Amino acid sequence: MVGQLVQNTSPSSQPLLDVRALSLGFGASETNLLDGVRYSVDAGETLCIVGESGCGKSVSSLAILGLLPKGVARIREADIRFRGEVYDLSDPSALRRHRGADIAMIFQEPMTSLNPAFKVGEQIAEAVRAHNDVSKSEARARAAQMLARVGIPAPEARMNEYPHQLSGGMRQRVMIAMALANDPALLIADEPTTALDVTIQSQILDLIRDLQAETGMGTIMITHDLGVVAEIADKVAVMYAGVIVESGPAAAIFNDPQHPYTIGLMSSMPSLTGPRHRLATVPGTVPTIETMPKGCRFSSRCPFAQPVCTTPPPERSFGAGHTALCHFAPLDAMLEQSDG
Amino acid sequence: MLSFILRRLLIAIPTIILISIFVFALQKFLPGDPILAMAGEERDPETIAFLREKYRLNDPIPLQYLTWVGNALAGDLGISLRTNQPVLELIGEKLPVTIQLATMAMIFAMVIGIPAGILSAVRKGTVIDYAANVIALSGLSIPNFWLGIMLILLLSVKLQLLPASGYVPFADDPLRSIQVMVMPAFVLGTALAATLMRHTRSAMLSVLTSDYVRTARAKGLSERRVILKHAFRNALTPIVTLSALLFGELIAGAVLTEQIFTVPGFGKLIVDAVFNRDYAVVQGIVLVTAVGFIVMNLLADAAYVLLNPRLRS
Repeated sequence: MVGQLVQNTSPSSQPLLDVRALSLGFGASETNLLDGVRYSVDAGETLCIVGESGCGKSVSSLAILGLLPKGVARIREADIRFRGEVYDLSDPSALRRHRGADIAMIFQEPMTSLNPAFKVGEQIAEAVRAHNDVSKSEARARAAQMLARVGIPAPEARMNEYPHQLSGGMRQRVMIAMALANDPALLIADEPTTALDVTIQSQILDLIRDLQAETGMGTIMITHDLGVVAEIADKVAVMYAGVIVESGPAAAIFNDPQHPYTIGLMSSMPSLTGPRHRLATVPGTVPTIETMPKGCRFSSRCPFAQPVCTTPPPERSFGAGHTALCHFAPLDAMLEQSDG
Repeated sequence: MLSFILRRLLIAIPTIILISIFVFALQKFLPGDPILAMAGEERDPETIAFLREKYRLNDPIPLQYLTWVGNALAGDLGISLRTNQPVLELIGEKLPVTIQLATMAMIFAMVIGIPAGILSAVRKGTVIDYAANVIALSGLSIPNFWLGIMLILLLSVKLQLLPASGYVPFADDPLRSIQVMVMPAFVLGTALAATLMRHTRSAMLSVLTSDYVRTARAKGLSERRVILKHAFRNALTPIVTLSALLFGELIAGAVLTEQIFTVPGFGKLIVDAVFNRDYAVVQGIVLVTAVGFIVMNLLADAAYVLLNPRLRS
């Protein structure tokens, strides 16, 4: 299966998933909930989308899979490529064929994400049969194989257990087994460790990383936990109020953040090695659709905001794919001023 | 599972005892004297004394109760004061009629109510949802007797498609038996369909937004499978529980509909017995329906456990 997957991966010139523009809004409201969201992920690569809760991280990935609740938000702009081909969000049956086959997703709440009425083996086998013309016993064999692969002991016995008989960490392993049962090219993990104990968190992250190395799949990890990002990200996209404000290689984002919001996020992370000081916070709260400032969406909380910030910020580039949406980036000059 | 049922059966015993006391007491406090009714116009004191002795009405009341319970346990629910038939035999004649009627009504209710409930939950806020709700509301507000009379006028009198009344035992001629009972069953079923539809709708609405339904969609399952397997399976618990209780109610309470279509079932038996102050029959019927209700409750509980893996172990 691994060999097959390597053949399937797109040529290195093309990203695996290339979201060029994704905008989403409610009803007649002029303000978009997601506004021109863009990011890309290559095969074998891990992209972390970070941001505060409510910033639209999960919404963007649910939208890509066509999993948003019906009749709530409408997609206003979508220019997406998957393996170099147009990925059409307006075609529900095409989305269904992608879901769980070449793009799989795991969720934040392992406690409630499995159906309490069915045995876990059956739930995994069902995912296999949804996309492959195989017999029930073949699908079950695959399910058992997957359970073993995600590190569940005695998989044959676990197959016949119900979700309530498993711990949270075990359930998340089952979710991962289910997601990876069809060897997806892309895994979207929406805060997969947030609901778990700290020791279990790192086990699950290690597992995802190992499986990724094994299969060469691309991974989008949605998280608000910068510790997780530091541990696994190749690339980072920082999201604020429905906009990707800064993105680039993980090292660049951590060592040389350019957007005031990213700088604020980074200084809110405690350090074991640096000098001890009070943890910084970003003052204020994320604006709602009604209170969204014009132009730069961060301007209402930005310590450097100027009158010009009420106009749409330009995208500034800092090499190696590192970009930030800010009138004043690079901020070096401003930071020196505020230090002095 | 077996121990669960046994436990529930044990709990049911005090309930049944309470009901039997209540039924017995109710009889004693009701106005009217059955013996006077039996003795006829002359009211010959000797006859009255003889009858009182025969039916042991001179015993202390607790003793009368114990005698009654003892006999009931032995399968003797007494003798009808009017027809001199054993009560158990009377009930045995009527019960199959009522059970057939209730079963057919329940089938109507489920076949209409459950799919309508699923559909209106899935299409929440659309024309289909509103239409289903309006129809359900009409189903609840149209009185059974009116619907029954209208159906008789239309299907029996005008179109002459179905017999207006009567009863043919199922064992004698199944097809004819079903034909005769279609209309009363439909009348009873429609009102229940509305109740079932509303409960199915709300149960489906609460599971359709659950995380595991989203997971089922994320697997790439067809919408049909997501709804009918993953969502419906979890919405089933309240639906099955409600159905069992409604069935219990049907056995006790089809009085009006049975009258309109002259179905010789429990409802008719109980009305006749009450009007004739036929105590033994009333007691017997109330006891049997109460036990039936408890059995349906027990079945509902058992279904609840069967449907919830968490409760099974």
